[in-house]
Amino acid sequence: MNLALTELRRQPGRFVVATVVLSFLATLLLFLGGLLDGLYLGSTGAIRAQNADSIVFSSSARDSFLRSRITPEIRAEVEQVPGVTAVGGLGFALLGAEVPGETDFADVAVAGYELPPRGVPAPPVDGEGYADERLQDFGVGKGDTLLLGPARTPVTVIGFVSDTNYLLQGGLWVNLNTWRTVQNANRPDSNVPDDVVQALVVQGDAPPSTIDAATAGATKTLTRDEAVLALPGVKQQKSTFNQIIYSTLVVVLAVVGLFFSLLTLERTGLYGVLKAIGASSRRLFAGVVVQSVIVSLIAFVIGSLLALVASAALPRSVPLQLTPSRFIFTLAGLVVAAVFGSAISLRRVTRIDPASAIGSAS
Amino acid sequence: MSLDPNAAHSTVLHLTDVRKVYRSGDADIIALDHATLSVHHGEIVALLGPSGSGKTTLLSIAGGLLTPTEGSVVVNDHDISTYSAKQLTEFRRTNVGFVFQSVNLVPFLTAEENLLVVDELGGGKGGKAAKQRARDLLAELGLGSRLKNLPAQLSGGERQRVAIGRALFNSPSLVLFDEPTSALDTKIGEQVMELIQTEMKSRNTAAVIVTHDNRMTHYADRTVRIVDGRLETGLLTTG
Repeated sequence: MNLALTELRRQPGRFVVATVVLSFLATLLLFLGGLLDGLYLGSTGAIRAQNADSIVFSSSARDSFLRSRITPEIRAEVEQVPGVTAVGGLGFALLGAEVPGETDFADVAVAGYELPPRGVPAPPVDGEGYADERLQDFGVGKGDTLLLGPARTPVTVIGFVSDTNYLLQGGLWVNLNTWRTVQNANRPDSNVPDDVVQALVVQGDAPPSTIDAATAGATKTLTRDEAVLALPGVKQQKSTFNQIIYSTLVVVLAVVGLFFSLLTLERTGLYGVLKAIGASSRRLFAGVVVQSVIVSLIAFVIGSLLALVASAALPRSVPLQLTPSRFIFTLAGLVVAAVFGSAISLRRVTRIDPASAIGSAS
Repeated sequence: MSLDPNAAHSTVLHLTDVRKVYRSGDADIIALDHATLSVHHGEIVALLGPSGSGKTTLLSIAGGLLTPTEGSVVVNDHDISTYSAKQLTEFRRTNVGFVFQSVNLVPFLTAEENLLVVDELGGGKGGKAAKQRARDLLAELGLGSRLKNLPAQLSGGERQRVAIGRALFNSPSLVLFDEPTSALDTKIGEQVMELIQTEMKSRNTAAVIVTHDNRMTHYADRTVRIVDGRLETGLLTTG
């Protein structure tokens, strides 16, 4: 028999309000986290998938693929840097695509590549490409010929890849020649000459500063993780959502703190009696912590179910992605908030005088 | 402190010149003034006094719930007047039984479990032996058929009997009662006092019973009056 657990089992009604509130907060935490993950994963897949140690931009591009241009001369200089083992060109074009048999246009990020990213085969022949699974939501199937941009440049889908999207647009992986064709046909204002790419994917242990020094400052080299965060809006999204998530955890802490403070206040008489017959403050406080953690665990389970139901009910255009790591983070956050929230009761429990049990009629 | 060896042998509780002074603003409030009292094994002492006379303070000091400002408190040869809060917690759990006025039992535990709380607080797991002891005690107190009842399902007298069982669970040599009949009607109150008398005598356990009800004093071996923090001893009653 354990006092705290027995009370939870025999008097669950006392904990319903806290459990309901914490369940909604757990759902909110998972929902916010899922949106953040969905936005982050959907925006950055194409860069995270790169088998690269560094990504080289032109120095004037301010870390943007669309603004960056790397000439063959610069590429040759990068290839000569000691420690560089492989270099490949990379370029993106964001366009609408007409899908056979569909009325709506699909949002496509045409990615030209040389070094195959994770899960992507070697570059296909001209006019063909591997589509990200996300494009299946737009009705894209294997063998379909997509007509890209206002110029209706044709690219035929020969297979699917996953988690390779760019700025929430479905990745369409083509060779550099096809990418240039698409880019130049549909974006005449930002023409890409032959052999020019937007960025270089670099393998090897050459430090970014060494690469930039070798090009006499014509390049700005970022690690792959830095390049991910340099994508437009990614850092801002991450920091905004994380601030909301941490604020919500503070609310969880406050709810637990307030609820168990009130419960402790209500139990003052009982705690006085228990202390009088030999219960230590530590034992009583441990009971409060155990109860708050269990209530949080139950709230997490309910919140997770609610979040999964909400996720299934939402249209796929909403970038909600519930990952196992998000569940683990939310669970850990709730448990930590529960422990610290219940710690607010510590002072109150400690201050209960066992002598108050005597001479008390109520 | 030194006690008479013969007295010490049979004395369970010995208060010597105990003072308790509370500070209130600039004034000192003397709750207990040079109180000296001995209680022997198997002896039942009724502590009688008006409201604010210091009887609660005396009971609290005797049970290690409060520490005295001056004087010594010896229970079972332990001088507890200098014990730390942690030592007092351990002391209360192992040496003294308490029966309080009305908030007494854990409301979500059955009668049997309310006794097993004492075992749990001592680090026990409520094993077979502890359960058997709880059942035997409750049967002895006439609650053999109420083991699985929650306090809310018991009458006032039954609840107080469960509380007596809890106080006796660890076989203490001293049990302190704080107005045990105040929430009961006269008839039930007398039954409870009879039970206390029987249980204390059969176990040779000492008891101090705080009461304001003169009718209950005849269950005690001795009545001690307390007025303005001072003890007035001498009135002897027969149980």
